[in-house]
Amino acid sequence: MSGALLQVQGLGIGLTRRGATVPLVEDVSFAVRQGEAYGIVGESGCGKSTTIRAVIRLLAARVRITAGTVAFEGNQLAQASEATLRPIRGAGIGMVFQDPLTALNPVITVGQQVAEGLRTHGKGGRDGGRERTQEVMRLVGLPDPQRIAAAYPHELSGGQRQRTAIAIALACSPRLLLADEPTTALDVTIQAQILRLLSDLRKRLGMALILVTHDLGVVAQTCDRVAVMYAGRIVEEAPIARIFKAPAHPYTVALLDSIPRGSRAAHPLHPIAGMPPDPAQKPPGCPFAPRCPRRSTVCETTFPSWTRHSGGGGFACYHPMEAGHG
Amino acid sequence: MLSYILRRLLLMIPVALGITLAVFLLVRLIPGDPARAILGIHATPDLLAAVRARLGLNDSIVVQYLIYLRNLVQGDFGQSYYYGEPIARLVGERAVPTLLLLAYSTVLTLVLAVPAGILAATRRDRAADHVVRIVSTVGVGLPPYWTGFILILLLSVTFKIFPIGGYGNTWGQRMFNLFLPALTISLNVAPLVMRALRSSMTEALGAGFIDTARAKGLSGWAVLLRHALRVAILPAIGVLGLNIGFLVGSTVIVENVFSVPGLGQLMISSINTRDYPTIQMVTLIFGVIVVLIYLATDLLQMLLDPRVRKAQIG
Repeated sequence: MSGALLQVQGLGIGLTRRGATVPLVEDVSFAVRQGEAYGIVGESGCGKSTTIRAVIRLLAARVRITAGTVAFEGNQLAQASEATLRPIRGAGIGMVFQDPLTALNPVITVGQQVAEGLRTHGKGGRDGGRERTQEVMRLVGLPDPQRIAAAYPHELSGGQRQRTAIAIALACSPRLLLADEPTTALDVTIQAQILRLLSDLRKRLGMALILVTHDLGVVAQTCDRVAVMYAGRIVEEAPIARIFKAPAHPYTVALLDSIPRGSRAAHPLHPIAGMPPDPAQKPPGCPFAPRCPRRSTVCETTFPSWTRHSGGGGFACYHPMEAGHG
Repeated sequence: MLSYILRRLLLMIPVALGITLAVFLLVRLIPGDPARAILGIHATPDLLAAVRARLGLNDSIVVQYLIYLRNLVQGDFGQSYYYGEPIARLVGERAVPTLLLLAYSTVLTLVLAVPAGILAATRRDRAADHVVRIVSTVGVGLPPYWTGFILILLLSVTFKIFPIGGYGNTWGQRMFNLFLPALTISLNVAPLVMRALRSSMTEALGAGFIDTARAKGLSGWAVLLRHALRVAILPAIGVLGLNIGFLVGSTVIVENVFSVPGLGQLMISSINTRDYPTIQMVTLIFGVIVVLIYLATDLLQMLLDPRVRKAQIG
């Protein structure tokens, strides 16, 4: 896809442990256009957080990119030096993390934490970023920005903390916002507010958003396209309507069946039997095969190649669902 | 804030009272007779009895303690049995070198412990970390009187860089002369602070706010110093404060090794001469210094950590 804001191609990420490398993410490719909202869903441990952390290279110790490329506005990031990455972090790509309490420094005032990014990128202006800080804090819907700027994180509510974290990420007007489970640690009512805020801000500021979540419902409200990840691979990608109406991959179907909706009698929940494979002992073929109701012998030996959907996206499965499932 | 400090200072009174009682009793457990120590071995029994009576040593222990307390409250710290001088003056002269030595050791401790702790945490389980940890384990195990003599042998006798001991007349001389004694003390305390910092720094570096700081585009140093250290230093300050009690104890030994005319040296000589009022006063001052250091530690933590501030004063 040419003209993409972010282009990830053949990304592989591995954990080095006692000389051996355990693959966490394999052959992940996707592209995000300017202003687009892209979702990545999957169970915990499927590599979705690792994948977006790799985009701005905030991987944990011993976790390394082993293959592939990450291009943002034409800059190659996968093997770039820290010096190359620094001007892009914060200014080009912002990131919001899962737990807003641990994501904020407990001993620095909220206002200073927002202004710090501005000053780092030379956008502080004459007042050290104070004015812009208040502007961003208003933008994310924090009441009385002047008072909150002088507060410490422990003096704020969970929702206010996450709004602050979003303000930090947006301070320098990035073109891409990465959001790693931004609502998982929040109360249900606050979750909806934060999601709406992210959607609104994306449209108003014209930035792209990558939203990582385990919750397909969240993706449905927020995203244009979605990638479904399982055991370190993207198994299906499609526009949001298609994922809900005509999912192709049995894992996507299983995920949809495990969303609670309507009355319990009309739509009983179907948890997915079994567990995702241990990354160190992944089966040679399709990693979902051991849990898949449609598996055949070929599934257990060779990972299926990518089949394109007609309307964009595609899937990796030998036995896709026929259209009209559900 | 002010009312908190006031409350803490009031709480010091029972602590100080406890110290006076403990020291008063302990001093009288030391075998030997102050009158004998003053007059020497050739004193006649009559003379000894006269001196004992003058010093009030014939009263019951309870009466002696109450007289001592009464004088203390009135600001009368008594006369030294041995020097015959007012103890207030004696102690006042000696306090300055000791306080200087304490402050100097604290600064050296931080100079040694903070970079080593940061290095060990950022190079965790690599060569630099192992070196720092081995050196610090050895350091904490070395007794200060031994380290002191080794430093004298090496840097004063063999290389003649530092004086063997003494204090000096100008501040410059004092800073120079007190370097080895301060180093001796901090070699003992720095490892403890370093280890505390290493573990709190490791924890801080793994915290979510470090990711946030890096995602803002901050440089490695800014992340390390402005974010990680600022949080990690808090428990290390606690450990430093607690160990200053230990540090105060070390000054007694180190002052004697390096002939520093401080409270520690006065204490040892007063014990040798059974100079009861001087021992009592010096010990009381050491006790008050320790309690004040704990207070200063708490205030520093409140200053640096808004969460502690909130918990203490709301």
